[in-house]
Amino acid sequence: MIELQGVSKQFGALVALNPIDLVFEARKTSVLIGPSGCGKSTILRLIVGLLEPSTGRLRFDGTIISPETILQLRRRMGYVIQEGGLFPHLTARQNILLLPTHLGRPREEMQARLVELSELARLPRDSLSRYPVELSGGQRQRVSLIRALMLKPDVLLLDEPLAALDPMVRASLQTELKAVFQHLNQTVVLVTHSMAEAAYLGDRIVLLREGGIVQAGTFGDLRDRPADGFVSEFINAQRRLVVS
Amino acid sequence: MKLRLTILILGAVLLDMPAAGVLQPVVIGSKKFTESYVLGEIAKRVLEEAGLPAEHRQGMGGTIILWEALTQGAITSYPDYTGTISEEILKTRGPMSQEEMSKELSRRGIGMTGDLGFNNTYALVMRRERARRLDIATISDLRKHPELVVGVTHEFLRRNDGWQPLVDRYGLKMRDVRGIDHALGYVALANGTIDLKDAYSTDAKIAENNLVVLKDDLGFFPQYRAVFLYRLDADRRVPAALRRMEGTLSDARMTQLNAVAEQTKDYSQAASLYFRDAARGKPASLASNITRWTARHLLLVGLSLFFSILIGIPLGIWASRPGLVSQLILGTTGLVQTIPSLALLALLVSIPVLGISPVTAIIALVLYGLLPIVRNTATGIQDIAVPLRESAAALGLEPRAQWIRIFLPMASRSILAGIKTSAVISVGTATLAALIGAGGLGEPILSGLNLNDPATILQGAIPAAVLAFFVQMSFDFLDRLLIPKGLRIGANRG
Repeated sequence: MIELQGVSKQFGALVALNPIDLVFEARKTSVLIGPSGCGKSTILRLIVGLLEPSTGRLRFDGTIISPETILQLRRRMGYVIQEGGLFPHLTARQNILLLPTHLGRPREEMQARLVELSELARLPRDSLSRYPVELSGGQRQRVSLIRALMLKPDVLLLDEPLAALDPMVRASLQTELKAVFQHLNQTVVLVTHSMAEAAYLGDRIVLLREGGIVQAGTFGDLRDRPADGFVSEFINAQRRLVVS
Repeated sequence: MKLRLTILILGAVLLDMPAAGVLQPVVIGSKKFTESYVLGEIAKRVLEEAGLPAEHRQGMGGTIILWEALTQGAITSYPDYTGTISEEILKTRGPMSQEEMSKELSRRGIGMTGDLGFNNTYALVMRRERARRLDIATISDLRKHPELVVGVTHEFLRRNDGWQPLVDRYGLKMRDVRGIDHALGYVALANGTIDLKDAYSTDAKIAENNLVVLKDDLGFFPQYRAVFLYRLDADRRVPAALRRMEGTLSDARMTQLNAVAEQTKDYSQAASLYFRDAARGKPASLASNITRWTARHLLLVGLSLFFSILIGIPLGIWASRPGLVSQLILGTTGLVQTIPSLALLALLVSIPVLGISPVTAIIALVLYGLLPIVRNTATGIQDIAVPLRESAAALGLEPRAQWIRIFLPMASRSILAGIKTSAVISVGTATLAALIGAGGLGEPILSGLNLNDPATILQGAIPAAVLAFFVQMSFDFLDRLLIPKGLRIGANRG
């Protein structure tokens, strides 16, 4: 679905991402994980075109991602960020319907889709007429998720969507996310720093460190056949955190 | 270029509406002092009696402004004095006959009527009892009193026949010399802030305030015979009518008319006295005057605000991106704001295509109104958080839609605040438009200042203050209408 070939990113002298090759498969949930500054968010931002690669190329469903193609490609992607990225001057419903309205999609169809997704994401009906400031953190992320899914995107890109939430809300949203992904048979790329989240949601996990890929595989692969000491250390560090 | 054309057309259409379609009236200008107002009013009546519709633009300013307005064609005629014409306009050395003057002026396309009959020369005046106590009767006597405080008009300070040449001629050594407005100078003289000021020999205030004219014992001041200047390309009936006034006003008669004008605060009444007819035209009621001034004021403010917004918001969007262009835009609009409004008007008036006209006033107001709008638009946009900018892009909206649907609405609170500031400032600054004959609430303020009459000043000042308050209120109302609710809730919750 998404293919990176020799993609790297530099900001001046700072190397954010060394040249990497990576493929994200359709209908799978891929998780990018690693410590801060490992380049996991950079990959996501390259896919959605907020950054341009220093070397290499990215393909989305066969099309090269470039300034010329990005506008059309973005309409086939859903993008959710940490704080939701909801526009404060619009209600939840207006936020969700912003792009469909702009593109002139049929009203009834969108209304039906909105109802379907609200139920799926367990968003209370009355919150649709509220403004972002009037919503809780969890509700904001639900709205953001619905907004990203409205046009049935080929890929859902999630950049630490649960990081700003308190643990209770986080746990329940995790469960719901999994249900949504399975129900929609959705291709997902998720960025997180939590191994528990990665293990729970991810079909495939890509562990990064200092702008390079350390290991890619299922959680079982990483746990049972770690490529090096860093992999086990990363898994165990988070496990110890849970136990203590 | 296209914009200026639009301004010119809009300005011309809206501001000259009452005149459009009807016969173009002859425009008479006058300088900013009582006698000039009265002469202008008399000329208006003389022309009307000759069957020529006439309009009188009162108190437009000093010699330079009137002369510019005359040569540029903004006015057809105005009263001036032979001394001023030779010294200030033709800038000749030595005396000049009226024939020579007339010949010299005709080369510049201007005609001159004969002498109206009186000599209003400059004079130095003091309070009578103070002059008596210090034993001062002539200008030469001032040599013994360098400690006296002198307060003369700005024009007199600069003139070729003004303060400096006078000092040289008489060998005076006055230590404290200040420039002060003519009308305010009389107040300063009365309360003792200054001891000595310049005046015109037919000035009604000399008798009224018990002042004494110091004898010009060396014969320094030139003759100031009153005449009318007019454009040679004017309708032939104009000079013919104006010439009917030649030799009809003696010193005593003019002083009397000036006194009546100052006592009644009504120039047309003084002018009526000239015609000796008791049945003078009914003066416009105060309410209708204020309505007219206010309507004109609103028009000036509205038009200039409209253009400030039209230019300011795109400039602000442009200035919201960091870089050299942004600094250039914000720097230039900021610089315009630091130019004193009077100086800006004077600068614009000196541009030939603009000159003395309401369009010039509007351009000045537009320039003044730009900064708050540009700056608030730029900061409003810059304040939008980076994740939200990126979300707008990542969503798949094209740049234009991002601006219209997201960035501008999000910056609306800041932009509206800038427009509000601009509007309120404009209501105040627009009072200066009267200086170049653009009308509005500045008109009564100027004539009141000239007459030293607080009541007349308040006729302009109070409506202007009320207007500013009203503008502020309506924008507060507009805020509710135009700023998205989601932003207003956000601000209330901090």
